[in-house]
Amino acid sequence: MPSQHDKSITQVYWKPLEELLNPIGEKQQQLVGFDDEFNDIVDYIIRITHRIWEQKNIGLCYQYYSDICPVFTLGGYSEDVEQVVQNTLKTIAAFPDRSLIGENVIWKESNDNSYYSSHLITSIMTNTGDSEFGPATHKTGRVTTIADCVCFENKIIKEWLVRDNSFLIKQLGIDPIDAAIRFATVTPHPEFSQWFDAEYKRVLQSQHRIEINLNNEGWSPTNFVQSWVQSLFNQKQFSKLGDYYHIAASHQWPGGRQSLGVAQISGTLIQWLAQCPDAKMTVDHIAVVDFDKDTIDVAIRWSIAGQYTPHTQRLASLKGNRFFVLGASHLRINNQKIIKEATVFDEIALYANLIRESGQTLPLLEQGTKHV
Amino acid sequence: MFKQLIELYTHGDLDKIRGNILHSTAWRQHDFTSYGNSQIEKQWLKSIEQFGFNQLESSLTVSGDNYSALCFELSNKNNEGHINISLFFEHNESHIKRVNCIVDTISLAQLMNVNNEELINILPIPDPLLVSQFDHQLHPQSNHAKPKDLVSLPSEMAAAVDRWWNIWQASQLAGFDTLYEKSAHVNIAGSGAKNSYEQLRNFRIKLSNALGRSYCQLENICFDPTEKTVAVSWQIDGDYLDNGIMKRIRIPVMSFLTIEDGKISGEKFQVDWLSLSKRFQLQTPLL
Repeated sequence: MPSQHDKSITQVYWKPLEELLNPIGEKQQQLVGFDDEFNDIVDYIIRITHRIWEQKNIGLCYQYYSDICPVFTLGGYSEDVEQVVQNTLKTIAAFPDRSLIGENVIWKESNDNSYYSSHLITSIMTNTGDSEFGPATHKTGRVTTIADCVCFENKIIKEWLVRDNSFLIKQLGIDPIDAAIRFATVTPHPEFSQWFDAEYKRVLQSQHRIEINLNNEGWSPTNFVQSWVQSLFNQKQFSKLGDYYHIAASHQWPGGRQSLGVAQISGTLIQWLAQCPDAKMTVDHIAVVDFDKDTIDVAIRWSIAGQYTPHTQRLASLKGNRFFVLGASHLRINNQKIIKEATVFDEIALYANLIRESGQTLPLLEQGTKHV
Repeated sequence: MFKQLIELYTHGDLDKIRGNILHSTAWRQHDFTSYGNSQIEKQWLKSIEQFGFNQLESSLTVSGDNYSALCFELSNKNNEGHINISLFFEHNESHIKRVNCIVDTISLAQLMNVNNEELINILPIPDPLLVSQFDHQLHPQSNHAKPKDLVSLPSEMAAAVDRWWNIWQASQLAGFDTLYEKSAHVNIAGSGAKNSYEQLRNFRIKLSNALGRSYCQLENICFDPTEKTVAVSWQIDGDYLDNGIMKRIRIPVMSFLTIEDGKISGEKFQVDWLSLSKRFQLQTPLL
């Protein structure tokens, strides 16, 4: 059976769209219960995404999502295919020209014939309709999304979806905290609170002081990722950044945080973590595939929990509230060092959750708040 | 691909270069990233409108394995206006994945016969950027990228590029006299077509003094041993006191070096100054 390291599985990076949409060649994975047309799990993800989003066949969600399909986002929870269809329709109505450019699909095959896929997507979209962030702005923006899905018998049966909404919001000319204040007024699905509570407690219990040393001799991606999380995020040992990152690594974090090299990356991580100094981080899923001879791609789904220490006067009243992030990272690792990282989470939902949980009504900028 | 890229701007030949662009190609120009054919073609058409159909004055190519770079100069019919355009791109011989394009916008404003403010107004709105504060010091036990960390150069080239980087990363100004040919052709974006290395040295000193806590970071290097050319994509971070307000800014730079007998005989220092002004809303020009 082909493995995660099999080169015959579709590789997205250099393939023209025409070839991705019209694949030739033989089936490379068993794909039990999937339609015969799909050669492998990457082919499945790329083509169904194109059909649903770019061709606007929203009804195909009924074909490619199971009736009960929990979808977890930091901004809300949906439970079944009906909600997936409705949410997709609402997004397309607000952003009718949304394109989904598949950047990468990192995957993992399980023994129960299910497949885990982590799909890194760049979208270009124009905000011509009202959205949960406010009235239509008629501006075009770009956003990075990572969709982690469990796929079984031709359907997505579970999904974790993260989107860099703060980056999008800034391009639309909306103040990110205003967007969070507006978004906080949306009442989430009742299941969301239960999931949030359970996840927050789970992540806080992580053993952040245990040493997880990087095993250079018996190097493995799993040990590398666990050690990366423990050393940098849980133990804040930033002098170890060079153990994990190439000295000129590129690092993309939400809201337009772009860094090159360990000095800049160090600044990004320290400044971001300072708003949750007691942050605990867990690795919730890892998938690894080959990119080329010396390079692998690693997809990580992770969570962070702690207490909020406001970084802006506008959110000062939220000090001590529950800070929780559902995030995902795609790492390209060459010769045991990260050369490229794309990390995605929804900062708008993060602040909206803090505001909603506080029960406070915070003023918008246009209501006289000083922009800080 | 060099030919296709040049003909895009000299003849408006979109068809030839279109075949090299992927659905997922990213093209960064004026600090704004266009993604995919539709956005990228819009960017091309805007550039062609602004540059006009001008003649190729000179070009410098750096043909690498996965990354290549091109810097070319266009001039108008009366030979009164010049513009330098630099591209650093990731490719696999048949397709281009990512392009970093730097246009000398001060020359562009002159070519278009508009003032800098007018051109700033019509440049695209740059991508959001949060520049983090970090420790910029070159501590004895901290690591900072050097050319050898990114590329394996022939020894003579490697020594010259190391010394060149030392000028920028460690402000080793004495390197100018020993590294550059006396007659080296230097072009500093925004400073006219022909400069000397002494002018580059003055520029380096002024830049150092204009920026507090500055830090130089390499992004990528490619080289062409047959042409003896090296292209370096890099950044300068620093504090800039802009009309009384301290701003942390980041300057994307592209340097094209021609190295002969261990010395730099030519350099193009490319920065898009007006996009920098737009991105950081600078009230006073950096230099």
